[in-house]
Amino acid sequence: MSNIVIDIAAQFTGKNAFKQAETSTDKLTKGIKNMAKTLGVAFSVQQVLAFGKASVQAAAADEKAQKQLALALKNVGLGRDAAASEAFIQKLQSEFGVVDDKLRPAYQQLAVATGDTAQSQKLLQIALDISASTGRDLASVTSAISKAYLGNNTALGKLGVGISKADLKAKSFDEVMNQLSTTFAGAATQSANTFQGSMDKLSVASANVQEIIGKGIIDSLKILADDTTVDDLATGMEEFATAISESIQGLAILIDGIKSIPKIPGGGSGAIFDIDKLFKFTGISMLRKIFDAANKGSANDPAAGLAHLAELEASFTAATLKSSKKLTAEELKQLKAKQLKAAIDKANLALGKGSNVFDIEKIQLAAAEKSAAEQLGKVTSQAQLLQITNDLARLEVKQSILALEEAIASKDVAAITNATNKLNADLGILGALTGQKIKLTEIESILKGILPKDLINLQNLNDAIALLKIIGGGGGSMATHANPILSDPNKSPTGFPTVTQPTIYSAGGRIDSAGNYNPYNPAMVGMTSGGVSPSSSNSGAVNVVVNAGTVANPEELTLLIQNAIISLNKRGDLLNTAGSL
Amino acid sequence: MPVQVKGVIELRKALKNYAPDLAKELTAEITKSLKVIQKDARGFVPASAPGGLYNWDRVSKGQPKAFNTSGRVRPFPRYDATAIKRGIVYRTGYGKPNSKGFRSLFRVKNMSAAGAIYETAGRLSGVQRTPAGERFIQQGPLYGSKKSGQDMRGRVLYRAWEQDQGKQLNAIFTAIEKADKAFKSRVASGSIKGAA
Repeated sequence: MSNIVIDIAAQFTGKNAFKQAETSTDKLTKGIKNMAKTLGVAFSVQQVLAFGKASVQAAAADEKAQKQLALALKNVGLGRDAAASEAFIQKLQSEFGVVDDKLRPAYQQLAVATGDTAQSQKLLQIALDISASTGRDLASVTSAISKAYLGNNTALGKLGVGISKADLKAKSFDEVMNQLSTTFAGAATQSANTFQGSMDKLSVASANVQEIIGKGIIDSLKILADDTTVDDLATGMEEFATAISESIQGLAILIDGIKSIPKIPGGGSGAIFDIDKLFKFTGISMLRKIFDAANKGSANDPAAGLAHLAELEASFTAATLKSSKKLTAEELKQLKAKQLKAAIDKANLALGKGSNVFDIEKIQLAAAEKSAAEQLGKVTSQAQLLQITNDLARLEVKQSILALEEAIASKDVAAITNATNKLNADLGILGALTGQKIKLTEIESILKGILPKDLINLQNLNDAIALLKIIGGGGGSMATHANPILSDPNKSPTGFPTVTQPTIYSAGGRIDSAGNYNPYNPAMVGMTSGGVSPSSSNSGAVNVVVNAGTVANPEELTLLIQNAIISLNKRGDLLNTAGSL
Repeated sequence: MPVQVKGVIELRKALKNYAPDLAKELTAEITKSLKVIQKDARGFVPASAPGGLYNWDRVSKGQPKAFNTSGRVRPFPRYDATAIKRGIVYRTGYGKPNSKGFRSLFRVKNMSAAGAIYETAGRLSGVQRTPAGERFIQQGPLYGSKKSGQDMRGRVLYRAWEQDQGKQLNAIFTAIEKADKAFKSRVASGSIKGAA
C-alpha cells in the first residue's frame, strides 16, 4: 500500500513504550481485580468454589510436575538431589521471572541428558541467558543444548548464537558452552531487571499465590477427610457436591410433603416442626417463613394456609423488587454524579491544556521566521536582504515581547530582567537596521534625481504653453532676439543680427551664388579635387571642402579586373584575338 | 515535516462534548482548506499516462497481469487518471499515534498505487535511478523539498502543497484559534454548563 501522505499538523500524545507499560500494568491490575473478585468480594459460593477448584487444580498440577521431576531425577540416579533441584528452580523462578512450569521440563531434560546436577544447573543458567538474549523459548534452547551434549550439534547451530559449523566440529562441548556463556553472560539478569521482567516476576508471584492457596485447600481437606492423595480428595469433593445436590432436592420434596400433612390438634403452638431449632443458620430464614405460612393453614382449611403462603410470597417479591429498584436508583444517582464530575474534570483539563500549551501565536511566529529564512536564500539585491533582515528582527522583537509578557505573568524577577534585556537588545538591532534603511532611502532619492525627467508632464506642458504665448506676442520672460512679426504679417522683420553671406572660392575665383556660379562648371559643384581654398583675408567666409576620391582603391580595382579576365577566359570569351599573344 | 501543535485534540474533544456546533463549524473550516489542496492535486493528474510511457494505460482490463513480473504478488497497477483522482483524499480525524508518539490531526493522501508511482517516481539520485525513473524525470520535475531525511517531493500532492505556500495551513490554524476563542468566551459567559 502506498504511503503518500502530507501530515498537516501532528500532536505528541505519548510513546508506544508508555502504552506498553500501561497495558502491562492494566493487565496485572485486571488480574488482581479478577482474583479479588473471585476471592469473594461478591461472596458468591459458586465463585469461591470455582476459585477453589482452579487453585486446587493449579496446586495439583504443580505437585504433579514436582513429582515427575523427582521421579526423573531418581531414574537417572539423582534422586537425592531432588530437593536441591526444586530449590534451584524456585530460586530461578523468583530471580528471572520465569514460571516453574517452564523451568522444570527444561531442567528435567538437561538432567536426563547429562546425569549431573551441577552440569544441569550450569546449562540451565546458560539456556536462560540465551533465551533472554535471542528471544527464543526456553524449551527449544534447552533441547538444542541437551542434543549438543549428546553429540548432535545441528540444533545448536540453528539457534543462531554466533557459532560457526567449523567451531561446532572442531571445539568440544565444554568449549562451545564456555563460549556461549561468555557471549550471553548476564542477559537473563538484565532482562529480569527491565520493566517487562518486573511484570513477569509479578505474574509468577500471582500464579504462585493460586498454587499456594490451592495447596492450602488440599491440605485442609486432606486433614478433614483423613485422605492421603488428591485423587481421594477429588472423589470426596464430588461426592460431597452430589450429596448437597441430593439434600436440596430432598428438602424440596420434604416441603411439598409438609404442605399435605394436617396439623396435630391441640398441639401447643400448633406447629408441626420447630423450624428454628431445625435450621439455626440465618440463610434459611426464608424457608422458616415458608414453614410458618404452611403452619398457619388450619386442618379444616388448608386452602387458607396456601393463600397466605401465596400472599407472603407476593409481598416478599414486591419487597425484593422495591429494594432492588431503590438500589438501582441509588446506583444510577451515583453514576450520574460520577459522570458529571468526570465531565467537569475533563473540560477543566481540556481548558487548562488549551490555554497553557495551545499557543497559535508562537506557531505563526515560528512559521514566519522559517519563511523569512527561506527567502534569505533567494535574495537578489542588497535592499531585499536588508528588508528580510528587518522582518526577522521585528519577529525577534515580537517574540521577546511575548517572552516578557509571560515572564511578567509568572512574576519571576530574574525571568523579567532577562526578557527585558533580550527585548532591549533586539530593539537595538532593529534600530540599527532601520538606520541603514534611512540611508538607503537617501540614496534612492539621489538616484531618482539623476533619472531623466519625463518628456510629457504638467510642468513641461506649462512651459510649452508659455513659450507659445511668447511667440504669439503674449509676453513672457524669454529673451528677445528679434522683433515679433506674427502680429503683423505684412511687416518686415527687424532686429535680426547681421549675417555675412557665405562665399565659396574655387581655382582662385568665387563660385558661390553671389559670384559667377555655374552649375555646369565642375569646379563650381565641387567635383574637382583641389578646387576649394580658404581665403584668409575674408574672415567671415564659410569654407567647404569636398573630397571626391576613386570608387575603389587601385589595388582592389586591379584585382577585380584580373578576376574578370580570368573568368571570361574560363568561359571561352577570350579578350585576345586568335593568333595574338 | 508537519507542524507540531499541542492541545488541539483536547480542544476538539471539549468542543464535541460541550459545543457541538462549534465543533462542526471547525471541521467545516478545516475541510474547506483541505479541499483546496485536494482539488489542486487532482488538477495535476494527467488524463493519460505521461509521454514515453504510452503502454502504461493501454493495457486492457482483460489482461491485468501484462506488467506483472515474476515474483510479484499482484499485477502492476495500470495508469488510470480517474482512479488516481479518486485516491486523492483528505482526513480530519486524528488517528493512532505513530512509533514516535505523534498523532496526525489533518492530512491529505494519495492512496492509489498508480498515483503513488506517478507522484514519487524518479526520487533517487542519478546513479541509483532506474531507467523508468529517468524517463519519469524527463517528463517533468519533482516539486517540493527533501529535508532531514524526509522526502516531500512529488508531482501531484506535494506539488499542490508546494504551490499553496502555506496559505491553507494558516487558514486551518486561524480556524482553530477562532474556535478556541469562541469556546472560551462561551465558558466565560456561562452558556456552557458543567464546563466552568
